[in-house]
Amino acid sequence: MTRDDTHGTDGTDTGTDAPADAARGDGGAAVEPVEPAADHTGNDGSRVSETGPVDPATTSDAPEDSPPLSISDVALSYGDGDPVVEADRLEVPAGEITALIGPNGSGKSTLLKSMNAELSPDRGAVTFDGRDVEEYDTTELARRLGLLSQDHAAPGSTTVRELATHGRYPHRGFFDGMSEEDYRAVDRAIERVGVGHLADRPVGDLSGGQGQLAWLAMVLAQETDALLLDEPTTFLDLHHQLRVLDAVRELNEDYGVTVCVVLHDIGQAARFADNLIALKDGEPYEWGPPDEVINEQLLRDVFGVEAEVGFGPNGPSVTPRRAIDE
Amino acid sequence: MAGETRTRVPEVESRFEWFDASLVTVMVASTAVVVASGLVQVSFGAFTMSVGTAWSAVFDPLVWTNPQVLLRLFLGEGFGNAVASGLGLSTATVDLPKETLIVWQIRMPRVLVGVLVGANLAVSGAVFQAVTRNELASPFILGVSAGAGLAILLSLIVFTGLAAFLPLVAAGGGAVAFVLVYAIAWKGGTNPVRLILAGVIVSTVFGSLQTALFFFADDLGVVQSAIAWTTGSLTGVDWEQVRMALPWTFIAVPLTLVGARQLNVLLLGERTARSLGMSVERVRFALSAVAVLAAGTAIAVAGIVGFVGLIVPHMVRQLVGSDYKRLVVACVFAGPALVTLADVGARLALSPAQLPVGIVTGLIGGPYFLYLMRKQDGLGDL
Repeated sequence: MTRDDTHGTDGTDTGTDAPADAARGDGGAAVEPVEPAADHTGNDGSRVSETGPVDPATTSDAPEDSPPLSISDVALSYGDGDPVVEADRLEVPAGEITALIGPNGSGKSTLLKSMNAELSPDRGAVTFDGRDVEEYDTTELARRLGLLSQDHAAPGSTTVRELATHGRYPHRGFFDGMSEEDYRAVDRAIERVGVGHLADRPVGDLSGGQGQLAWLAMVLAQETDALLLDEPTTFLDLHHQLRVLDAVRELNEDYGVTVCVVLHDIGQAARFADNLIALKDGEPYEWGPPDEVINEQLLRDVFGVEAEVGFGPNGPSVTPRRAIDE
Repeated sequence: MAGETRTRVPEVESRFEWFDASLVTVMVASTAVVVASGLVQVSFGAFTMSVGTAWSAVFDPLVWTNPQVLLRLFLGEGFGNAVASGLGLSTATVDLPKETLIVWQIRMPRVLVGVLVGANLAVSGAVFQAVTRNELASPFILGVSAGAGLAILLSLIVFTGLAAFLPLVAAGGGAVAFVLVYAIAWKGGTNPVRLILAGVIVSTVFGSLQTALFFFADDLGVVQSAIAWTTGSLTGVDWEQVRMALPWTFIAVPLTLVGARQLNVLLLGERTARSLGMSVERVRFALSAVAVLAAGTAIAVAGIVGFVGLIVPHMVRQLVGSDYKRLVVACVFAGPALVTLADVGARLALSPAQLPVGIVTGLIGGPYFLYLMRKQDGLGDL
């Protein structure tokens, strides 16, 4: 239950991930770590050690880089209604990927809203880096915490690069133009998401999947310590689902960015995330690493399906059989 | 390493890279329309002269080589002279030929006011469309015009002493109406649809009050000038109106340009704007205030010229795209083009009788909107 527990299990996780990580490090990222690492330290002085992707052995230190999001004793509601979400204690561990899972209406997105200070809790608080997210100035929070929301829309004639440039909004003063660092951040984000060839295309002409990548580029250009993603893969074809998730995972591995993502596909969540938080009727049902959280009973109780859970080297796999009548 | 060579270049270019061919085309074409309409406008009137004579009067070297003449026209007799002597220029009177005098003293203001009105209304509409994220938004629909119109009628009919402060009165009325609209639409935040509906409510009530005021007018002249206000007219405008509108235009337009990036981010949706660190309600309110000022300025000098704030941003968007840096600049040029062109129509259509320009813009605007409605299914979303 404590953070140390999570880290223990995580240690074994990173062990299995390490070879893949190293292989990736040899590729496109070979040049990058030096420069951006310096810039991350520039953005907030609190960083002491910056771990790059070059040395996989140090990735287990990643949690020290980015701050965690902690939820303590919150009740969330819209207007004067009854609480939609109630949680005693939840943690989105630093430098790890945490997926929120649960059926429709279980409060995943609501919980995510409280993390981004969009929704004030009736009681309790969400803390980011030890501070209540509501105490942050909006710009300050936006420099450290990014959100890829579901209901985004840009005028069709906006190009991918223009969209990504908006990600620099919190880093620029009211009258400031784009600094050289801003341009570099936009270039990095576009490259990381792999939309370089689309950079000058208007988003209105892109497919749904390409569009989502463009939006992801915008959020990455924000260069935050933590990232919230609200169902980033819903409605995308498989290819683009993986493109989105891969980009997020690489970011997490390279810079230890804390990620909290709402995912609909439980199998995908199990493969992708280091931790899962399963919500049922607005309350956490279980949370922890996928192989501890995912089992037949959870699928029955939370999702109302009968399913087989297999355990492979890549984490648990879920084969749904049938829906259970309530 | 690639960055070394690549980032330098955009650094220099980027400030103006948004200044693209389509924008330049709009600017040039609009300027041509304004100049052409202006020339037609200045050559007609009680004292008819040929376009050629009018042209030479406009470019009369006596005007252009004696800065004090222009200063006196734009800044007023006293202030213009003061500025001229302050700058070490001559304040001597210049004897202008009759044609030049007629063109510059009497006919030019109408063109210039048309330019200012067009620019202000177009910019105001563009801002309102971004703030409400609705293509159908305009000062007219959001109740601003109705509020400004009511304030003007009140000062014409009831509080006659306020006539000297018309732009302020108009902007004040517009602001009151807009705050009302905002308050009605507010429910822990606002959204585009509620804003538009609230605008319709406020417009309707204020429109009724305007009509009601006619019954309190003592003589027919006041009613007639009141009607001219509510339809929007450039007939009989003077340098006085140019001087009235100019300073406010120079405040509202640059502020909008500065706010272009905020407008662009607002268009990404409230949630995204917020997650990028924008204080959405505050920015929305500040930009709305600028738009109210722009609309108030236009209404104070020309009355309620309908449809300009609605169509111009719309037409321009088809040409230069939705980037507000481009859009606002293009509106500053295209708005004047539409108004000056419509004003030529207003002057010539039933010559020698003159129509209020608002009638012509309405006649252009209605069908344009019908055409859009037929062409586009998703009209309304931005």
